Amino acid sequence: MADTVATLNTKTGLTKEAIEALSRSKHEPAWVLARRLEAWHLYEETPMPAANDELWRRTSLKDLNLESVVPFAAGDAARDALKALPEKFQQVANDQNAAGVLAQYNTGVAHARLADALKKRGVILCDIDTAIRAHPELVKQYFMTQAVTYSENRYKSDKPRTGTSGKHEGGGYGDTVGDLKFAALHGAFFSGGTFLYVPRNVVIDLPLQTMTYFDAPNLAMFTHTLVVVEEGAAVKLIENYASKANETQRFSNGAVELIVKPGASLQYFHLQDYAQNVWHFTSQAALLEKDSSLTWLVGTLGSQSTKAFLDCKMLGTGTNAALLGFFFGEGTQHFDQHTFQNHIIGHSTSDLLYKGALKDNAYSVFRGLIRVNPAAQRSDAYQANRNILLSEHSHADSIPELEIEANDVRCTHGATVGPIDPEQVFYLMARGIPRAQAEQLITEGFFDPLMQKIPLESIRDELTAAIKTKIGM
Amino acid sequence: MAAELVIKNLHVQVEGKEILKGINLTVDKGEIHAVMGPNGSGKSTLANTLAGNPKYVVTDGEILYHGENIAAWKPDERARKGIFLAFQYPMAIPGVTVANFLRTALNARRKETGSNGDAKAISIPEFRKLMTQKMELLKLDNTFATRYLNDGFSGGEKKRVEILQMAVLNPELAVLDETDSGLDIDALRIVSEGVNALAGPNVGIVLITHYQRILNYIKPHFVHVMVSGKLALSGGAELALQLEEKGYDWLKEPEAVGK
Ligand SMILES: Nc1ncnc2c1ncn2[C@@H]1O[C@H](COP(=O)(O)OP(=O)(O)O)[C@@H](O)[C@H]1O
Ligand SMILES: [Mg+2]
Repeated sequence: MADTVATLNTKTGLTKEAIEALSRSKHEPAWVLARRLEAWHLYEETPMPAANDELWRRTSLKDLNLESVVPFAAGDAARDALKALPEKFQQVANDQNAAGVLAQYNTGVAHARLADALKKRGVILCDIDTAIRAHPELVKQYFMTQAVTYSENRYKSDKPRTGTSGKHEGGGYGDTVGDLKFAALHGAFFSGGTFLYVPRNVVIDLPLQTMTYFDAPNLAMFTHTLVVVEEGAAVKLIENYASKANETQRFSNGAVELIVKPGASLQYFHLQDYAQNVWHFTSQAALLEKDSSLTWLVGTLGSQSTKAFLDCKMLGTGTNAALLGFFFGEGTQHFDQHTFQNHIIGHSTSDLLYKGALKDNAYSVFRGLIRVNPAAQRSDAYQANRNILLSEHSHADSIPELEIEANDVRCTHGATVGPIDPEQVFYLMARGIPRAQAEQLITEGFFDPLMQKIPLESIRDELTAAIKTKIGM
Repeated sequence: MAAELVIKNLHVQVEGKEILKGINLTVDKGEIHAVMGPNGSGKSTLANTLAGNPKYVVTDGEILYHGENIAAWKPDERARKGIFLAFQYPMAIPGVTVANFLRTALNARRKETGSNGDAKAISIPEFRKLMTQKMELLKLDNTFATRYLNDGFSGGEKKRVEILQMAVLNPELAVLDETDSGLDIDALRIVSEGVNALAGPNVGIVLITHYQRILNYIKPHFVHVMVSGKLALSGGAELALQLEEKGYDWLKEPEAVGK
């Protein structure tokens, strides 16, 4: 529609009217609007997480200003939108050897390409809006119906729990709103994002990549990633998120859904490097069916404040999940991450490693829940969170939580928070390496095992460089 | 010309406790000095103090290196100027490969030793060649280059990698702290051969050991015995054999003996 191409919505505020306008501008079918309004209804019914909510008390929302946000930008991105993207994103988009790339600028698609060989085999890589038009049956089936849902509070639980929060009144997290409030808001305003579908037994060796970048004033981002890997299929997806730094507060409220069918394999990399004026909320969930395997790495370098819910549900026997995370906070950055290793069925393994470094006045919360249901005998659940504090005023809380209801399980958890070991620094200095460089080497080394998991050298190098810059020593 | 190393009346405290109580020792170029002594006598304290470990506080006396008092030199400066410590307990640095670490260290040292401080960083092929050659010397297979430094290494591997570092960095004064401990016969021979290959007219070596065993392979010019933070006895190579026979007990508490 020619008339919508150039018109950028600039109305502020999150309202029902805005949802209707958004849906109209996208020419969405009625069922999509109905779902949006259902989500909106729940959003309105759910209270804003309060300061005394167990899952929210370390992240204050009092400075979050939702009145001034522009909830969507109508119309497609301009033809030359690719040029607006950061250089490194352009390079990836223009790489003719890539198996598949998808670039998003503000809320429009700037570039999309998928190798013909993959198209022929039924692989789909597109944005969610396109998926709704071209593959409505798949979207209807999976979109916010199983993984990230707003109809069920996954965090509400009165089960007995060991670990730091076991004392909480009513057990579990008490009467928390969990991620419902923002998952519902996302369900009302989702836009853009990634839809990846890999049919049965299709094995893709080269990683697929997406890049999302936004710079429009006050624009809120509601990116949605939905990945469905069918039985016996295998794929790697690397997603990069960035935004332009400027004065105004910005809002991002994303969701990621990873559905891994029996015997399938997914390696998913979520790399967030938003500018440090962004409030970032994200609900991510993975469902693992029988004998499937997932590597799920979440990298958090950007944003002013990140509140992340990362759920991994082990639905079948023989499932294997590696949950990996790295983060690096500087200035007054605030990261608050919840991970959830949810063993529904036994003979399943989840192994989590989150590593972070913090400098200046940065603050990080890692809260890792392991739940093993009574039916999940012979589950192996491991969790480790390591934090290094590079300055006196940086801070990290690490809170492991266990809800073990089966008796034949192997479960370990460990957390460390502290400065770089001075004996390590001395060892390197005793070889002639100056202190600052020694600390830099140790910090880089701290992240290296996670970097090595990333299947693309170019991305590895970029992240290593980003970490180097952040170390800034 | 000033001797390589002169230690005068050195007193050192660790966490407020005096450990070294007046050490005197002179090491010249080309000399190998063995420092022996029972556990806990202060040998590692001496080694760490020479390397500048901030946990070890010099409360009296001085250390002269080529005639210069090094009290104010930080550990990295000492190392760049040619002082090397092979650690009794080398630290693991996970995530940092042996190759990356060694190249960084070598470049730091070259910067210092180069004429007018403008020496260029070593090129990668040149470095590879050097490292391969030195790894052969220590019978380390080349997978070590890409392994994380001391991470998961066996005791023997750690000690060999310490000597590898010495070989690459080419120090003028090397302090080897119980490099022989925990090595089997073969590893001991490899390490000793490595040290012998690096010894020479331009290097001073302080070989700290608890056992006489390594002295079958490395011939010291002088042997000193440390007891309770002092060098209780000094002599030639034959002293080591005497210690082998008699143990250390007869030397303990020299103050008490003197009374
Ligand atoms: N880093 C340290 N922290 C606390 N005490 C130490 C430390 N290093 C040495 N000491 C103490 O100093 C004394 C001498 O130790 P050390 O120098 O290691 O002896 P050696 O190497 O001869 O076995 C011991 O009593 C030991 O407990
Ligand atoms: Mg010792």
